[in-house]
Amino acid sequence: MSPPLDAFLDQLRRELRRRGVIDPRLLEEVRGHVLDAVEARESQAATSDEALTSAIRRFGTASSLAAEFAAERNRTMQRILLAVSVTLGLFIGYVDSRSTWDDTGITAGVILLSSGILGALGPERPWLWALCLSIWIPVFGLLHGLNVGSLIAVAIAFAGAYAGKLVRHVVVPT
Amino acid sequence: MKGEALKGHLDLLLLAALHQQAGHGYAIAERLRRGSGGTFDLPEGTIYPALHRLEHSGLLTSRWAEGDTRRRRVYQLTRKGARVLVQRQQEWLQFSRAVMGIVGA
Repeated sequence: MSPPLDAFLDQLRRELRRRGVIDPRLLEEVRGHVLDAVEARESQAATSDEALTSAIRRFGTASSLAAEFAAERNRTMQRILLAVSVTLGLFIGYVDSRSTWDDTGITAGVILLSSGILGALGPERPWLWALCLSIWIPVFGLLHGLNVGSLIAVAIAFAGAYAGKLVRHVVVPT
Repeated sequence: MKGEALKGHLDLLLLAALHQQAGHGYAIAERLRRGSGGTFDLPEGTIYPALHRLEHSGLLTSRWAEGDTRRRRVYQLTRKGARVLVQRQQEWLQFSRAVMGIVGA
């Protein structure tokens, strides 16, 4: 492989990684695309250097491609995280509301851990995961009479989600 | 045409480019350029996020195809993709007629 193409692919790999995307398939596709473009230009009498420079320029910048790709991935991830947080929140809320369940410590621990993981996976909207995960405990609590203490679950979820976001930024600096 | 103006229509263009024949990324970019007489000249890398998105939506499928010198990821329209293409073509025709009715020829 030629040094300019190596450098371009390395830069794209770094830009993707910086945005939390690791995708060897995309990198192989990009490499193949640029080489196809180089061959096409060489067949039109361009020199190898000219062909490669032109093919890379026409492909676009590594940062813009990585940004677009990360945005696409992000949209899918946000939908998944929303579904997971609502489903898990409903489950936790239901279990916590049962009269036979009196282990508040476990409930709090599960909320803290779950919201932390959600916040780390989706650092753009920790408030949303926290809310979707924890709001069901006060909601189920309302069915058994207003329990102001159940609002603590929301505070724990917010603390966990933002802690997860912080950990993500430390581990994967942007 | 400016890349930004084209992006809103990229899904339809990609589905249409793959309607007759499956193809890899470079071939698809060439079809768009040639099919538009050079008007659709966006950065070629732009098509990949859209191709991957369409694949995740079930409108395209892809597989590696071995070539002489390297393998290439070849994209193909699914049945769902073909149905969506027909629907979006109709929407586009309706939209473009409406615009032409106002802008005029």
